[in-house]
Amino acid sequence: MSTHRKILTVYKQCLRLYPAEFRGRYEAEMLRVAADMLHDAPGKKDKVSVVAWLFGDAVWSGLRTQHEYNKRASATRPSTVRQMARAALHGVQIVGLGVLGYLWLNMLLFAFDDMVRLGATRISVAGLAGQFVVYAVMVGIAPLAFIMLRKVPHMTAWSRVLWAAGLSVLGFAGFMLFGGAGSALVRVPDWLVAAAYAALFYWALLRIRLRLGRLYATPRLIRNLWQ
Amino acid sequence: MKRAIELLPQVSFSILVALSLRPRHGYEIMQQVEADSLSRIKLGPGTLYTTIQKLVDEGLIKEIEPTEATRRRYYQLTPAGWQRLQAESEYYTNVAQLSQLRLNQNGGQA
Repeated sequence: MSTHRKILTVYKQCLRLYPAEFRGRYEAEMLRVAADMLHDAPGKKDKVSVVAWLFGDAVWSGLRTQHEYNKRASATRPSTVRQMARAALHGVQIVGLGVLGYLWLNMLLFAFDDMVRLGATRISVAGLAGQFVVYAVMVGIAPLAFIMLRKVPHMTAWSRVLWAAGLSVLGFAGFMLFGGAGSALVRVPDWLVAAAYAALFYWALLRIRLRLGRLYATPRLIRNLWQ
Repeated sequence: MKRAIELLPQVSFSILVALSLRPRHGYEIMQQVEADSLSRIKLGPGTLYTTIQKLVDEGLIKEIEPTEATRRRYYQLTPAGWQRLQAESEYYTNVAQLSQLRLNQNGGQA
């Protein structure tokens, strides 16, 4: 690694002092300018003074910019009451989704109990892969989906709730199919089936979040291109 | 009566002056500012881009989207930027003339 590249790597780390929004917009340009400055410094002594100048400027200007952004953010920050109300609403949404998951689980378990009582074989229930794991998965899916969907830009809180509820239904249905098929076809421990499903579901949730992110970000992207 | 203008900070004004010839990218702006000020104003990338951001937010300069050939962001004055530059230049010209006149009248005496 050349000396210039090493300096630029450290300089890039220094740029972390700037707010993320600013960095996203100007980081590449600042690195280019820094590279040009280093390139155009003729002697070793000049290079040293350029490096000192670069780092001094990055620290000083970075802290000042951070301070200005914080000042701007605090001026637009909602009141404490509104923040508390928002946090409470968020809590209610997560608990509500957890309860929803729990209820769905119970309803389905009852349905299976009836089937068993009516003479169905226990193989159909084998896919449940241990009641405790199922409970944990079901109660966890909806809030987990909700928390992950919070990262999707431009999505309102209630559309997040709807998506999370929908995903928990899908998640449960998927668990039944996967667990059922897994236990019936392959002789593996239940906890392994449950773990494999959890990993698969988590991956699917991530993909869905990315797709939704793109979907919700598209109008903004089009607007930016248009301007 | 003319409305009073709030003067731009020196670095912002120097960037507007540097962009008055043609659109430039960051490093060119830095070099032009240094040349215009006879090396009295030296900008680092941090100071340069925070000032650029302020000028963009105020609508005095605008960014030209980078092309495949350049890959750099160029900046140019907006009509509002030209107006502001003109207003500030008039102010500084008047101040310079006045101060020169007073220096001549008093012969540089304290």
